Amino acid sequence: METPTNAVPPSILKPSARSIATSKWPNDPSTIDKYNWLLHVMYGRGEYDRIQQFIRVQPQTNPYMTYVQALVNRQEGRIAEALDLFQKSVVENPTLVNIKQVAKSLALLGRYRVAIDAYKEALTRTTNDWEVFHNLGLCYMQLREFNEAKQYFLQALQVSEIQEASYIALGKVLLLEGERDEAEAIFERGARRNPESPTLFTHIGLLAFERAHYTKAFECFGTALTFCPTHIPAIMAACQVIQKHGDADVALSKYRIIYGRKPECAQVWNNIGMCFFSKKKFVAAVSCLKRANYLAPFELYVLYNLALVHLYLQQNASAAIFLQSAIRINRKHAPSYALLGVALSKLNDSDNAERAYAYSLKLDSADPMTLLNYGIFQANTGVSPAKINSTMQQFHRCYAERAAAAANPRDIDASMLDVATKLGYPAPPPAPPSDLPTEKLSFPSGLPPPPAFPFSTNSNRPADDSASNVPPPPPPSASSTLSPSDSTKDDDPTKQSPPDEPEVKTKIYDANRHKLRRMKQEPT
Amino acid sequence: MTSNKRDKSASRQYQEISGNENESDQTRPTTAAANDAKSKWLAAHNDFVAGINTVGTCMELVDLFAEGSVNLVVADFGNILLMPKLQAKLKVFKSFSLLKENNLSDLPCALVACYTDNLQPRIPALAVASGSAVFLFKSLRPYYKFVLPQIEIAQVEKDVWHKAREGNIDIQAMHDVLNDIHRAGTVPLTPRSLTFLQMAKSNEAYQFVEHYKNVELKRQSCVTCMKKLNKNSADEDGLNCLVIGTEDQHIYIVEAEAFTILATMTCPATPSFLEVSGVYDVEFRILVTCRNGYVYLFRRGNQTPRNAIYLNSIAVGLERFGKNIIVGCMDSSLHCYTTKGKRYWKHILPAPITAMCQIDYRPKGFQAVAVALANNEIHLYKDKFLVDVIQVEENIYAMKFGKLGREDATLVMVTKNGGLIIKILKRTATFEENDTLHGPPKEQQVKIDVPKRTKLYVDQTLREKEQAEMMYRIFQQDLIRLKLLTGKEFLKSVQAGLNPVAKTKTEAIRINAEVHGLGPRFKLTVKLQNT
Repeated sequence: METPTNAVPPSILKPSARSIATSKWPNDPSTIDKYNWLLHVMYGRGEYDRIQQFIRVQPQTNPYMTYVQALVNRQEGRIAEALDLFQKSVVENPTLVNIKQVAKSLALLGRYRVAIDAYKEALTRTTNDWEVFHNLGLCYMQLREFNEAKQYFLQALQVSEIQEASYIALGKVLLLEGERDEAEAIFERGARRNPESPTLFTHIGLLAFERAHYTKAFECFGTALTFCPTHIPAIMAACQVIQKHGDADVALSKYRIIYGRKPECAQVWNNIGMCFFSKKKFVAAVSCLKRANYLAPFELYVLYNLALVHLYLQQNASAAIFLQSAIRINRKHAPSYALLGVALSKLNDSDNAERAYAYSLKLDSADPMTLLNYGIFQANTGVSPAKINSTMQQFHRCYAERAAAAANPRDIDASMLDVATKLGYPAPPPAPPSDLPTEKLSFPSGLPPPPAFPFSTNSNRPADDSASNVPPPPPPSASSTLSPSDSTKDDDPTKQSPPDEPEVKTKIYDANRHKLRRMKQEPT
Repeated sequence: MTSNKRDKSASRQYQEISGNENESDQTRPTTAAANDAKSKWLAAHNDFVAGINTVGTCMELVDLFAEGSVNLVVADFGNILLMPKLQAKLKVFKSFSLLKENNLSDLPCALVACYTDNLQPRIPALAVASGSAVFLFKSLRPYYKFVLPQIEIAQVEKDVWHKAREGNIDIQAMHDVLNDIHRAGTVPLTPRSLTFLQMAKSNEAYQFVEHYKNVELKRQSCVTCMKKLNKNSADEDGLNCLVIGTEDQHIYIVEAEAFTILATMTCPATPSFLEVSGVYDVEFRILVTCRNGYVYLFRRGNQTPRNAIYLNSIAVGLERFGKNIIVGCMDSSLHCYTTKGKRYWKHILPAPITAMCQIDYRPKGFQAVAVALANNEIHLYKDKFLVDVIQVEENIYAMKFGKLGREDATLVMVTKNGGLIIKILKRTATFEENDTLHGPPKEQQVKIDVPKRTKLYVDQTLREKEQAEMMYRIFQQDLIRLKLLTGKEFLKSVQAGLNPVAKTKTEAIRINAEVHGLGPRFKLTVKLQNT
């Protein structure tokens, strides 16, 4: 078919009459950019397949098509191919946009040094591009060169003050360096600029939590959840607080949200298990904890909690085995040894129990609960009263220290003193609750609330992915458990004292105060 | 011409095939929210085989014949993948049925209904932008074609092609000269020269030059977006100008009566969406989202933007309410800014945004922005509150709200597969000014599926309570025995030369075994290497 090479379409009425070039080139090359807008729109909508088909049917490619093709490749995860195309674009046309894309692809491939070079090249073409500064900071953060990282994040924040991502990244760098105060200041500055950012508020809350400012922490988590009721890190953190003062039902209802979104999160299963535990649904608790253990077999606290629950259920052999697994994961975890001591003494293996207690005390000699359990163990195994006395005196000393250090007088479980009194070693006169009535102990009825501890582990992960933002599981309550039958023997503590007590190290909250606050926070 | 015909029939066949596919789509159970009583919308029309393929900027709701009944006008792409044989059409609908259609020469990029004269009755003309031209249709007949002004070409480049026509320059020399201009970067090259520079083989380049040397050298930009602006009065049917954004980073304001360029503005990047307000002769503002992820604000009398807002992502929609700008971004976020660039709020939506449109229902004073999402929902935001969610059957790729026929409030939607959905806002509908998503998220109602325990487990627990000590002893013994056995076997395998990395002195063969996973399922990789 002949083709008159006319530059303009012959008629807008008869497109079919438009000449078709015999060659592979269109008649009018001046308008090869005419579909760029459509590519841009399709890219924005995420129609990646259609873009690729569209580019394939084009008789001719233009630079923008290469660029979009590269973007599509990167969006679909073929980063190396994307990098090739972007590099081709840079060779053709070294603009800022192209250089930035090359640098970004390099960073995604983990080639941070080269990426930094590319970004620095980009900096020669612009001085106020937030993205360049921020990504430079991220690259240096990955290379653990924190001074440069901080410097670039600060520059990024100078360029654009509202960028949530830069505040979070800068805060993380500061946390990695151990500068908690500065990190908190940065997060708070960011939160002032982004008053609706759930991530920033969760970070502030976690920092407050670490300092045991539970009121502030809970308020921060509440704020985060107001703006995003499904923000998983905030839910996890808020539930820690809720669980900590023993409101398992509320925590459970919140955990359902995470369960619905991330049903394979071991941490959630652990916390759900501990909720059931405090609701005395032991079979459910064991089931959930076992699922957590299945999902994360190397998670220390899951094993520890499993041991705790089994000990409570008088399944001492299982408890001992789980504790051995826990110890195998962390050989310096004093509470595990202490609990192993309890389990072994119940299994009539007093030699090893003695060694477990001794090792636990060697690792942490200031844990009143371990000391108390040790004292009871010594009393049960007929050790000379002088030794028991020294143990119990140390217990009272540590207990008094803890009680003095606790901000809230109910942060420490006073029932430990009752048990000590029953054992025949009442607290020295200055200790306030020593004169409590010694009739019936209340501990078997009231289970210790599954605990929530400040999590230190998540601060040393620089990762950005949401999965790692899930706070680690709460270190479980260091409470050992009391079998109900033990309470009957309480009358004669010297002869056959309660072998192993439910000691509660976790802090108990003033329930009313918290209820009030919770009312405020709960969406109705 | 015969080949042409065959092509046509082929494409018709294709259409039929795709039509059948669409029909099977239609048979899906459609339990739209429209059916339940709580919905604020009536399903007026559902046609999943309408075969319309377009974007939001190519739809208009306008009273095309000044008869008091509003028509839907769509500039349809046809199938963009049948590229050289586009079947782009200008379609006019009257009350859900196709009234008339006109062929278009090229893929349309924007459609605007504008008033180009002061005659009575007020009959609007249709301006269709495609390629580098704007075609004006009056009474659905082609009336005028406005071509964007040509862009300056470097003199050296002109000379090179002039020499090429006369045949006194060779390919290599051409390449060198053009490459120099390109590297210098002062004046951009024409697309023709750029294509030439990309050619690797001299044979191909020679053919290219032969093909083009007699064609006039041109550098012409293309339209990327177009909107209208009132010329001298704020009346709805006042005389209009066209605001045209182009690929070469310009914004032109063109008078629609005689097509003279009234103003030219320079944009720092290629514009993608426009939003225009005001009156040209008095004061006007143009908001532009650009491909570099910025929103720029232009005002009357300024060549360059006054304000710039940095978005973290590419914009997929732009709407303006008074002094508020609402931008939907590719990272499924919806932002609200003031025209000064301060951010009011930001929402992260549950799915990527596919289309956006403004809802302005004057009789009730209801203003909102509708955001179509990739999860087949349309979210209506009034200020920062989500006031309604409409469920639809397919992804929506284009939307328009306004009058249609004699209805005051209709939402016209075009789906991904070419369907046309029209919904009418119920007259009784009221939108409460708080979040419909207020309250606990729906996941909170899900029951946690606690793994069940078997009777055997319970029996074992009971047994353990009674005989814990014995069980523990046996377990310990067995464990130690197992360890001993493992150790012995390991020793045996080391002695026999079967350890994971096995080396024998005589044979040059290495075996390396790796176990991945903890079991019960695991993967065993054995590498056998001849060194």
